[in-house]
Amino acid sequence: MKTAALGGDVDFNGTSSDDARYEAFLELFSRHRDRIFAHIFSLVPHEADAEDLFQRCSIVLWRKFREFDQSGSFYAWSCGVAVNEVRNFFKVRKRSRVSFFPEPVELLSRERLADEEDLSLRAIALQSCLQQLRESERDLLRIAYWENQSLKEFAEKTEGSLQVLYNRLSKIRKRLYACIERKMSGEAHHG
Amino acid sequence: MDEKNLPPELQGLLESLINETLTPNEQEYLQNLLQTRQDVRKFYLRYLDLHVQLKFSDRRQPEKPAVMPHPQLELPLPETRFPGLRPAIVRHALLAGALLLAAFGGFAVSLNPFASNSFLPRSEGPSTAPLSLAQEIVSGVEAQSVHAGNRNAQTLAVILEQDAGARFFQDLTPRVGSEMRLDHQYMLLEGHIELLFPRGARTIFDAPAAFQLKSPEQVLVTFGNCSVYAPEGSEGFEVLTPSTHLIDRGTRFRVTVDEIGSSEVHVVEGLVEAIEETDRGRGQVQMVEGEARHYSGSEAAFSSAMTYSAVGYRKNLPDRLISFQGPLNSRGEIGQLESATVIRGGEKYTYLFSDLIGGDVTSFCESGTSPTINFILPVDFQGDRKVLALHDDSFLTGVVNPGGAPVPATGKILTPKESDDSSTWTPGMTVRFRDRVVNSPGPDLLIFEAQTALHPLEGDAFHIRPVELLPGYHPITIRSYDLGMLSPESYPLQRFALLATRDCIPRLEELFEQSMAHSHVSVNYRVVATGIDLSDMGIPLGESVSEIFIQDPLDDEFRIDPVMVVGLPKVASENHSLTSVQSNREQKATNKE
Repeated sequence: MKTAALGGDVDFNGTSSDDARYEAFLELFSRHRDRIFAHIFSLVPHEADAEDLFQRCSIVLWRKFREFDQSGSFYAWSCGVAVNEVRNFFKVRKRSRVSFFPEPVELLSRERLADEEDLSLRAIALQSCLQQLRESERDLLRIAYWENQSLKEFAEKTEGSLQVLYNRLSKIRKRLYACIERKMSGEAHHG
Repeated sequence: MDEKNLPPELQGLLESLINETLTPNEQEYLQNLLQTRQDVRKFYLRYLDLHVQLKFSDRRQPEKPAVMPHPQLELPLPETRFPGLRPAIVRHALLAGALLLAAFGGFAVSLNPFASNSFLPRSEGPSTAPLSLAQEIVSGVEAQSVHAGNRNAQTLAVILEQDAGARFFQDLTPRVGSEMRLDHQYMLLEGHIELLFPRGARTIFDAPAAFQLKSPEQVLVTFGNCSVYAPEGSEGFEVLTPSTHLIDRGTRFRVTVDEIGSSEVHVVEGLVEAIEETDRGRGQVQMVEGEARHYSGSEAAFSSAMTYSAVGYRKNLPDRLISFQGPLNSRGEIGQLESATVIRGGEKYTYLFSDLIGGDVTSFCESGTSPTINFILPVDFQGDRKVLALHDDSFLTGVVNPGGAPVPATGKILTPKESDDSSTWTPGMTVRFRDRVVNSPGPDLLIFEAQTALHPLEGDAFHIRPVELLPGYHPITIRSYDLGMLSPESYPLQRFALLATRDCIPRLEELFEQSMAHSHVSVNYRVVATGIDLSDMGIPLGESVSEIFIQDPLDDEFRIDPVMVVGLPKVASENHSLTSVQSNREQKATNKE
């Protein structure tokens, strides 16, 4: 209990240095979480593997947070940590025939970091492009991305063809990509 | 970037990559393109980012429900296939809340940008009011637990059998006796846990560790140290790691997995069958007691024998206070102690309050000159303040905020009784036990403290020593309580009042007589507690103490607020066993019914 207090006018604003560190990590991690995940996914473009790596990175980031220079970019630091984790992961999993590991990882990571501002703008443009989709297209996106079932499960449940769903999704992504390009091009012209 | 110059098949390749249908030849071709062409890499990064952003985009248009209606956002949410896929509110709440509970403390919820959305998926459905984790901490409301009482009904459940200071990343620490979730990634950041599987197998994880329960008889360890015990009847229990697959044939063993998925297996007793993940068809090895193997997980390097070491195999969780009980009011708040359960020498003991050795405050000396709060007392308290310093079963009485020093006193304790010179008095407080406390295995003393989420979450640190320092005896500093603020075994404390002096009071007698300001607390408190082993102070087993001295280490602005200090009875095989005490308690419960 804080001692310098009388008559119930108790000041409880203090926190220990550990708490402050925790708070700082929480804020930074929360702010950059999606971008860190996206970064990992670009280096390990396999859903389950990327998920596993993201979980590992979360722990490692937390454990190494004392080493983080607060004057630097948390996101860039996190990506550096992630690259090391990806490298370790490759060593173990490279033999896998089913997973694709793009090389060189460091170069891809560096180029993605350099393109970060552009990617952020593209993410904003995507929101606008999504509104231009037809209802049936949004339904398919919801099933593929936002509901708790795989496309394969959906295809089995509806006795539909998984390949047909893949093809439809592919068309939607291509349309969205083209839409983003148009919007980015417009931005460039206006900006 | 001029996309017209990109290979026409590139977009199709990336679609196959996203769908996870890329053939080996296509993989090789794409790899070559990425290695040699910067424009391909740029397109690759943008296209994959589009895919990931689509995953996240469901929560980026909350103001346009007509575009993407997601009524399920308001419903309890199951696990998703993708960490970025949890719908926004809950995902952020889980992140923020989990981090908080794992490491940051509930109060930080209000400081993070997602605080207004902070609630956990709950079973009550969409009408459930959002409940912040901070509220949960201070109010003691449980978010997700199935109490041990349901165990019989859930015969296939994996149960959290014991918890020693456990903190998880992205999860509340479940209450002991709760059912653990299948196919959920648990990440243990601090402490130890013991899990009990339906057919009797037990696993102990030491932090940091990451694991998933794949079935009621199968656990996947992806990081950290796991000690396994499969008694008779539980043979066939399976432990998976990224590099091997272990089948227990009735044994004790430990497995340790490192950050790149390599694992070590050390068999302490019995027999383990190990199947190498690199080639399940032929890589089967039987390991017996005293054998150890290293599994690299690499195709080029199969498992290899290594030097066996029993170090690291954990048979029991550390000796400690594991819970305490008392009657709760309608708000779930505790006011008095009824019993406490401790592990001593690996055995569980539950003591009724009447079994405990009471401790009275016999000296009290402040160290500063600031006005200070000195008493915790019941809201309607009218009597003699002296009783507040005496042992009773109430958590609503106590003499708090004693003085202290950064370095614990190692010389003779001087109180006003020994010296008239106030400059020589040792800041701190003396507690005298009503019977000598004999050093037995495990904790011998219990200290209960009133604490808020705004104070150190581990409990306020303190120095403690026997008043009489015989050769070899020494003070220790406690910085982490067995049951801290985040422990599901700590309880919210009933409302109490405070008495604060206007001047520094060095003598206990003056503390009783001084005019004081009376006030009510405005924040919620919990009772946190810890066990203390006299052996840690250099006291041999079988020796005893009659008085202890407590000092605050003055390492922050918060002082220790002890509301109860008690000794435990000497461990005797014929007394205090869990069975006998539990039988008594069950008998009492039966009588009440």
